[in-house]
Order: sequence, then C-alpha cells, then structure tokens
Amino acid sequence: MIDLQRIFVKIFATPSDKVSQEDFVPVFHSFIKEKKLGEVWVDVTNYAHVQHGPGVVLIAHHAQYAMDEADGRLGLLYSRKRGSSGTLTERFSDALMRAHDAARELASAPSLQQSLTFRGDELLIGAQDKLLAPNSDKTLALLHAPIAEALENTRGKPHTLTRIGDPRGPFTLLASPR
Amino acid sequence: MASRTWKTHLDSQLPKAMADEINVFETELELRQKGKLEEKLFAETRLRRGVYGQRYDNGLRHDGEAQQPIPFPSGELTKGPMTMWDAPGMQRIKVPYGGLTAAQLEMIADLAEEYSDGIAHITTRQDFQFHFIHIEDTPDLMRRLAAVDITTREACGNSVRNITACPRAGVCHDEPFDTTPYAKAMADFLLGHPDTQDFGRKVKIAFSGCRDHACALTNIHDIGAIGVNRAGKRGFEFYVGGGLGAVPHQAKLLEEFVSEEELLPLSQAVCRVFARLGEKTNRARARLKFVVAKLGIEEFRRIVAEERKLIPNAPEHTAYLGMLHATDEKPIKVSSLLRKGRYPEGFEAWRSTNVYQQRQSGYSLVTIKCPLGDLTSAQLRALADLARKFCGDTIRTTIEQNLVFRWVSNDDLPALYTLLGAIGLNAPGAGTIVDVTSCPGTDTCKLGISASRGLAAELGTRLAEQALTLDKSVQELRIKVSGCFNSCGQHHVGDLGFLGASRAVNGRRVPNFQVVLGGQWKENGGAYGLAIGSVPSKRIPDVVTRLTERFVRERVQEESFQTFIQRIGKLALRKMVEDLIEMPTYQEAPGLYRDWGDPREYTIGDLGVGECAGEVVPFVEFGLAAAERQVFEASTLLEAGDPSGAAERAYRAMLHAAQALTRHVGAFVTDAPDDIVAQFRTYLVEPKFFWDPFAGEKFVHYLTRVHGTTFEGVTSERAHQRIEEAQLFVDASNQAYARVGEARQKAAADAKVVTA
Repeated sequence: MIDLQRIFVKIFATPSDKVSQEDFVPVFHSFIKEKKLGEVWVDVTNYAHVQHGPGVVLIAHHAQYAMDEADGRLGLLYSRKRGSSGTLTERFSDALMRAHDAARELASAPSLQQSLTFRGDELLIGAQDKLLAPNSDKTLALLHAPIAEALENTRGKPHTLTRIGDPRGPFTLLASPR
Repeated sequence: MASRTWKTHLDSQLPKAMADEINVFETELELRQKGKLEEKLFAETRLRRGVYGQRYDNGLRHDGEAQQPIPFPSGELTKGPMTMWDAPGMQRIKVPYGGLTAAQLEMIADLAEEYSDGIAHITTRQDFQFHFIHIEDTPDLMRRLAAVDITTREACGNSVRNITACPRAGVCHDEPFDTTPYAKAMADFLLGHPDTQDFGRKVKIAFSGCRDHACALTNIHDIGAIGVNRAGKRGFEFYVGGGLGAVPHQAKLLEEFVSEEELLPLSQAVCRVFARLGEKTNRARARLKFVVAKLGIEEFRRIVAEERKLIPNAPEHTAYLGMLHATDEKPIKVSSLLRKGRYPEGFEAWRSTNVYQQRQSGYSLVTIKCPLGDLTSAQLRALADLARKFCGDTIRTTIEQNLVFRWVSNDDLPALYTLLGAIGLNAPGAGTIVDVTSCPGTDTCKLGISASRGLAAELGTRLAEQALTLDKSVQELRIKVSGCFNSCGQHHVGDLGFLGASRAVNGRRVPNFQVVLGGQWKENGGAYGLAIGSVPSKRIPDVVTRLTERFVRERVQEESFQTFIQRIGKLALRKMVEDLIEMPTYQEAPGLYRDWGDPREYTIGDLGVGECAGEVVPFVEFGLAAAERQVFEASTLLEAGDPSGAAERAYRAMLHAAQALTRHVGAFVTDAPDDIVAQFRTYLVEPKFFWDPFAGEKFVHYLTRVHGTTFEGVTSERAHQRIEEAQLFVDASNQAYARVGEARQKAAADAKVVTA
C-alpha cells in the first residue's frame, strides 16, 4: 500500500451573492480562537485577490481549509498535508468527515447568517501527490476502490467516480451519488 | 510503510553535487531532530538553503485578546532560536536574473500545490517564495527544483542572494549590450564560492543595461553593475555600498569602467574585503554599505584594489566569455506587425501599459500583472502553456512582482491578451499606480509590523476602479509598501512609499504607516524619500487621494512628482495629513485599531490592550509626539539646505523620546543630555523595555552613536541617514511605551493573584 498523505476533498457551495471571501476571514479567525474542529491551528491567509484561487485559507498543522474558487466554483477545500494514518479507505474517510465537519461549522457560523449552503450532489476528492498519485488512469485503478468505499461509508451511498482535470495537476475525481 | 520517495526517484537524475548537497541537508535535519546539531548552527544551515522562518514560528499567536500557544506535535523541538520545529516556514527559491522556463513554471506549480497553500509568490528581488512549508518537506522540494535546474542554495542567510537583472535585458532599446550572460556568470561564480561564506550579513547584486531606468535598481544594491561600452569594448560601471533597510544608502561608484574580464575577480575582491572588514556581531551594522560609509569610497577602493592584486587570475574568471551567447533567446514565432482590426475589449488599454516594443522589430515584451505577486498552480500551468505557444522559454520575473513574456510576435498580442484573460491575468496597468508592490508584511513575515499586503490590495482595488479616470500624471506614479523598516517593499524609492509602524494611543496600539514621499524610482532608484508623518493604516487611502489630487491640481507643466514634492515642501505636505494623524478614541473608531484584512484587535507580538482605556492622554504620549515632530522638523531643515541643523534636530528628537520614556517609568531625569542617556540606559534599555526581539539594541545605538558628537560639517546624505535613524528610534520608543504598559498590567495581575 502506498503511504498517501496529501489527500483532499472539496465540497461545493451553492453560489450566493450574499457572501464574499472577505466574510470568511473573521469566521476562520473565530475557528482558531474557539479551537474548533480539533486541529492545531496556525493562521488565516487571504488570497481573494487571485482569480479562481484558494480564497481565504485557514492553516492548520496537519491540513488546510480553503474557501476555494478553482475553476470558478466556490467550495470548502480540505487539504490534508501530513499525519494521515490507517488504510487508504480510512484516510479518505477521515478527510471526508473533516471536510463535512468544517462545512457544517461554516454553514452555521452566525456572522454568515445562513447565506452559505453546501451541495450534496457532487464533490471532488483526490490526492496532491505527483509521485505516488499522478492524475492518471493508473492511479484511478489504484485508488478507485478505497475512495468508493470511503464515500459509501461516510455518505451512506455509492458514488459514481469520474477522473477529471489537468493531467499535470492533482489526481482528481468528481464524485456524484448514484 | 514503504513507498517510493523523491530521493530514490530523482537522486540519479540530479547533478551529483546538487544531490549530495541536498542529502547532506537532509542528514543535518535528522541530526537536529535527534538533538545532535546545535539549533543556531542548524538555523544558519537551513537559511543558506532558503528555508526561512515565518510569523508565529515561536509557537505563539495572539488571537486578538491574548497570546495563545500553538500546541505543535513536536513539542519543544526547535529549528533555530525561538523557532519551533513544526511551525510552518517560508521557502525561497533563487531565480538568477529572473529567467524561467515553462518547465520550471510547471514545477513551481506542483510544489505550491503539494507543499504550500496553492500559491507561489514573486518577490521584489525576482525570487519565488512558498509559504506555510514544513521543514521536513524541504529536502524533497529542493530535489524537485534541482530536477529543473533551480537551486535554493544561498537564497537566505549571510550569503550572496539572488542576482537580479533588468527583465528587458537583451531586448531593450537603451542598453549597449545584453547583461544577461554576465548576471548568470556572476551567479554561477559566486554560488558557494569560498570567499562568500564568511559574511556578517547578506550581499545583494543587480545588473542593469542603463543608468536612466529603474528596471534593476542598482543604486539600492550592495553591488550594482551597469553595462557600458568604452571604445568598442564591453564593461561595467561598478557601484558598491547601496542598500535600503532601516537606513538607506545610495551606492557609490567604485569603478567607472570594469572590463568584462575583470568583472568576476573584482566582485570576488569586494566579497573578500566585506568578509574581512564587515561587522560580524552587530547585525544592524553588518551590511557592506556600513563598511563603505565608514571607510569612505576612496579608502574602500584602495583596499579592494589591493585585495584584487592578491587574487591570482583564474580560468573561471573568464571562462564564461566564451559562452556569452548561451543565454541568447530564440523566438519561436516569426516577427510580425499587429494587424489593424477589431481588437478584444480592453486590449488597447492593456497594450498601452503592459506591452513594450522590443529592440527587435516585430516583437514585444509583455508584462503579466500578478496581483501582489501571487499566482495559483493552475495559473502557472496555463502560463507555461502560453509560453510554449507564444514565446518559448523567455519568461522572466520582475522586481515589481510581475512576470514578463519576451519575444511575443506582435500579431499574437490580441490572442495572448484573450488567453491571459481566461486565467485572470490580463489586467492593464503594469508599472503604473495600480500596480502596487508590497512585501509580505504581517501576513507571513515574522518581522512585519503592519499589514502591507492588506494595504496594497486595498489601494490596488480602489485605484483600479478609478484607472480610466485617473490623470495620466497620476497613473505613472509608483506605490511601494513595506511592512517594517527592513524595507523589502522598497518604499524608499516609490513616488508614494509606505512603511509599517505602530503607535500607542491611550494604551492601545494602532497600526500605522509612515508616509514617505519623494523617492525616485527612475535612474536605478536615484533618490530616497523622507517621511512626512505616521498615519493610521486605515486612513492611508485618504492620504493617496489627497496627494494625487493636489498633484493634478497644482502640477506645473510636466513637473515630476518628485519635483512637485520638493516644491510644495514637507511642511505643507505634513499639514495635508495632520487631521488624519489625529486619533479618535477606541470607542469612537474601533476600526482604526485593526489592520487591513485582520479582524483581530491590532497587536505586535504579545502586546495587547495597554494600561489605560480612558480618555486621559498620558504625559509620555505628548513627549513621544513632540519627538516625532522634531524628526519632521529635521527633514524640513535638510530640505532647506541645513544638513548640520537637520542632524542635530534628529538627535534632539531621540533625546526627547528617551527623556519622555525615562520619566514615564518613574525616574527623575534632568534636561542634561548625559543624564538622559545614562538614565535611559538604566531604566529602559537594561530591563529590555527598549529592545527589539529581532534587532536587539540596534535602535539604542542610533542615539548613543551621535550623543556627544558634533554636527558641524555633516553631509546631506549623513543627515538623511540620521533622520531615518531618529524616525526608527521614535517608532521603537512607541513600542517600548507599550511594553512598559504591558509589564505594569502583568505586575498588577500578579499582585491580584498574590492578594487572593
């Protein structure tokens, strides 16, 4: 089994005119102050000035949480950077649960006044590791089963998985419930 | 769990020297983890490989109410003094003369995504930086860079830093020849050279093809070389001892003409002299500029000439001359004229600011404006594709934190513009007032005092909204923002420069920026501006509006902004912002007590709310304000042609601040300067109230060095430096004042605990 550490999950948000990247800055600062989500928090950084960039990013020791706008689609991007353990299924399951927990916290943040909602019909899941998991069919063959199992375990339904994205970029699957 | 590693994957593909060097670093890293390598030694080791600290790396972060520990898993393990092992850091990578290939852009994209936060940042010295990097990822990151011929070696630390050069080199109309191969040769020659390993601090080198423009800013560098032809022979005007930082120095001409054969050995001789005579213990005075200033340029020239005689001529001094064309670029498209017709919307505006017609007919250099120097991995990959389509491996970074594509065939410009638009990178205004340059500031830099990026983003957004209506004279101005006195944002040479500072008001701290006007961007950074006052961060946009509107209103013919500033005079300029300097109470305007983009109440380090939230202004604040006024008066004296008076007034300002602080801590102090200095040392310096965590006693020396000296015969340049020093002393006094307040609060809290 490969020792895959850099796993990501992106849960898409429903577009809304009522919320901007700047609104996430105080929310993420409050996550640090209130020690939410059980992470070792470090800081908040703001890339709202970059088109289709990571937006506002909450940095933790093991992972980053970004209000990502890649490809023009806003969503909560959870990127694990280190400290993953267990089987591949367990690692992807853990990433999915952490992403969902963060999305729940964000959606219920009082300052956002329920203007942010997340979609359940599709998400992105994959790995940012060009050595162990390039964006190729070979990686798909390797990771399809653990990812499918993780999705079913955490979301209670089987998903259709489609590999997408720049072959030079991270290994990315678009997951939709069947 | 055994997995493939970058080490096993790449080691055999890398040049042996590079692979060995990275393996050695990895071993040192493991030794430090095991406690078998002393932290100071490891710190310098990693710095010399570009692995730098970042904000909060001491394991503490203020959440707006109190400083909180960050519970890193590796506990107390450090990677340097007061630098926690697990704390994310910055990795700088060297890009000699800013030159990049498409493959290198793709690699930078991969690394930003995997190890950083998805962003690669272009610096004001043509480097790239990644933030939030874990120390344990750095060996692999270095291996992957080495695989595309990029090194991080000596990107930080006491070494020769990235060698910068004009991004137009080779395609410029003004240059006598392309300086690119010389910059590359210098970078190759000095990298790891034994004569560059024992510096007290860093050395920055820049190459330019002309005296008039600002593309390389040779005047602000330790060593600056400007290409010149003499009797048909290539050579360089060779400058030394320039630098920004806390006290800026203009470079001095060492040699009017250094032949291409002598370029490297002369630079080697300068490095040897710097290693031998440069300060090693007091970092605040350890740059080459202080050696040149202390010795005087004539004596420095003599010593360097003597040193040069001791260096035997060696093949490596001239070997590169046989390969001068190795860096020549070959266009991948035939030259063409831009066909007339309907262009995409916005194309003409973009073309007018972002496109430079090359010396080679039918080709253009295109500047890609990168907001705050930031690019995503997706943008970098797309840029690599565009480079391969339009210009090949002719990409360069610029000191204004942008990228350029060279050798774009003119008829391709509309298509390139459209495709850049698809990735959000076809904004016009490169090199204009909307193209604001900034250092990282408090976003990530552990030395940052104010949010320079936050301010730069705000100004950039506001000005871009007005871009079409701004007067042409205003559009041509440059704004530069530095988050602290180290001046990485190069604010000294901007038309409008802003320098991060802080002020204490009724015990609370307010993020400020010093407004620095009159710097000269042209002529390689030909003159430095002077501060007119410190204004709360949130009011800086108003400062810009007032100054630019008045410039448009009162400009005489084609007068430059610099001339306008001199003509109006600092006194009048100060009056324009005086009402903005006045601070309302926290209750009246809490927003002013927060910095741009940060909802936390403003703090520096572990300083929080001070001793008094009431309305009464403590006496010490009047004293500090008076000291600030005296600094300003010093600059007006200098402007009026009285450098001696200016230097003395600057000294008096420091004395005034020192006296105010000394009285504040309860000491009885007379007006006698000797008494003030002695008691200031006893009550403020020794207990480390007047002390900077990074600069130590640096600011104290600004006072003690001039105390008891005469000011007669002081040159304008020296007076300028004294004023800069006095300003920093007053800034440090404000911080010391807050520190005293915090100590009193803590003492009061401790007393409560004891009583309870």
